[in-house]
Amino acid sequence: MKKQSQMKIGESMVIIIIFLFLLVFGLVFYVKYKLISVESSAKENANLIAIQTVQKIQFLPELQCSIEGTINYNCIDIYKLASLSELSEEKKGVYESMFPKTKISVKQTYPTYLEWDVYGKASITGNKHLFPIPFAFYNTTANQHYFGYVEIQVFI
Amino acid sequence: MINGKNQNSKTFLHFNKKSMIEIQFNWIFILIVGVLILLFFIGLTNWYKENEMRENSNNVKFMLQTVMTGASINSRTASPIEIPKIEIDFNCDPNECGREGCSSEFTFSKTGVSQDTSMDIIFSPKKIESDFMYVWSLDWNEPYKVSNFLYLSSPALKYYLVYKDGYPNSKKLAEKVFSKMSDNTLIKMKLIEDDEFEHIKYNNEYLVRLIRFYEGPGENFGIDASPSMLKEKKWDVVYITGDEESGTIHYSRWSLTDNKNREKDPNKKTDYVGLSSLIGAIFTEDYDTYLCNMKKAYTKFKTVNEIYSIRSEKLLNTYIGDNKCEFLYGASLQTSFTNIENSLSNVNDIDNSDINVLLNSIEEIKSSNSDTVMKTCPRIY
Repeated sequence: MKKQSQMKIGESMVIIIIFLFLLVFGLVFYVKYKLISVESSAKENANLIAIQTVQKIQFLPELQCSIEGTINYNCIDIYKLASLSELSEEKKGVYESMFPKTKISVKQTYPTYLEWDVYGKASITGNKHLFPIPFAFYNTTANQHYFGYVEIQVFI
Repeated sequence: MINGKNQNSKTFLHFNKKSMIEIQFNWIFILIVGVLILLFFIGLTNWYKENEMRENSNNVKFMLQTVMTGASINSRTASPIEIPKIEIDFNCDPNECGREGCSSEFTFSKTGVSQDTSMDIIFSPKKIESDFMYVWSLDWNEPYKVSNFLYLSSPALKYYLVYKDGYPNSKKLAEKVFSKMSDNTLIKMKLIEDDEFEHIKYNNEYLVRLIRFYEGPGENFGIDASPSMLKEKKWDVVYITGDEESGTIHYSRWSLTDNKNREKDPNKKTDYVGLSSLIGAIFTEDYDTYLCNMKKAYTKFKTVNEIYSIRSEKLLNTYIGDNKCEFLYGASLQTSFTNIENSLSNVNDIDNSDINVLLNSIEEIKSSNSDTVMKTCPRIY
């Protein structure tokens, strides 16, 4: 009788152990799957943030060619560009939250090569996403259009 | 023999007791293990539920960010966004504003997921909990484009624009605002005359906002609303006077003498500059939130103003010696930019005199810009 009852208890214990083992195995599998899914979402979201930053810069009224509020898309006013580059650090503070971890430089390629460092700190670190976006450049005094691109580096 | 019988019965009793104890312990053991397993699964379910809510909130957060970015780029577009019914709280503290904007965010309550909106100018109710969110944006041009203003609303909000005949500008301004807001076909809105108050019906909205475009006698008033609306205090009033260029906004509070009516709150009065900022007051139920967003707008204004100021100096340098264009970018124009800079130098302390200086400078720049067009010189903006 003693042996029988001991066997019965042993049986119950084994069932519980097997059950727990299966449970733990299931949990580990689920957690690993979730981790992979979260990593993939994080990558996707990082790309999304980078693209949103690029869109905001593309449509920044401080750079766009405009006539009394009417915007000329994909066009940069050279005089505004030069002014933005010369803006004081204090005034550039408004772009900290708009363009976190971002460097913006503008390069004119035609007719002559010119370069402006518009925004960004030298000490930014992280995975770099590079977005070159072609633009027309407008010189309001010469009434002429040039060509170049905006180079946006987003560090995620 | 008798001893044998006694011994047998003793043994039998002994075994009986043992098995009874054994059975009882067995059941106790099963109970304990069962409860532990149950608690484990309940804990697992709760953890999973919280995780899913947090994941859901994160997804909605990114979706909202995308929509807000899109709306801020394309002004004058109104779009409905379908969102899960998670409560979203909008916070903006006007006492925490600096060169990088203001301490501001939207949060999904119960999950703690939040998004910083330091320099995003968003006029919204304090909270939105609905299946749909309406997103709309307008340019703020003073006189050059400074920023886009984002307006958030939901189907649970209703707006009544109220004018009164006999008050100068009241009807004109109300109609102007109504016409502008009609571009957004999604929001529930009505233009009514003062006498039509009693016909306002309450349909279980989260909030009914009355925008009064006049001030005068009878400012403390109640509306003939249903008992449930009065009981739940689901309505408020904003007083607006002025024109589409500038004016005053006065928020209200529950009357201190009579709990049913509302009256002007003497501590919640501010100025607006431009129709877009006036409309911002209509969408924002809370004075602090409105003030906070206007501070962000003024901070951005300072930056854009400096860009145009430097640009004008460069134009001046280009046209030195040119009799036609040189004087257009001269000292007078620079003074206007400087006056704007000075009037906005401390966004935490902008008063009526600063607003007047700002408005005068805006007019001067507009006038100078018109001169450049007449003289076929490069425009100021």
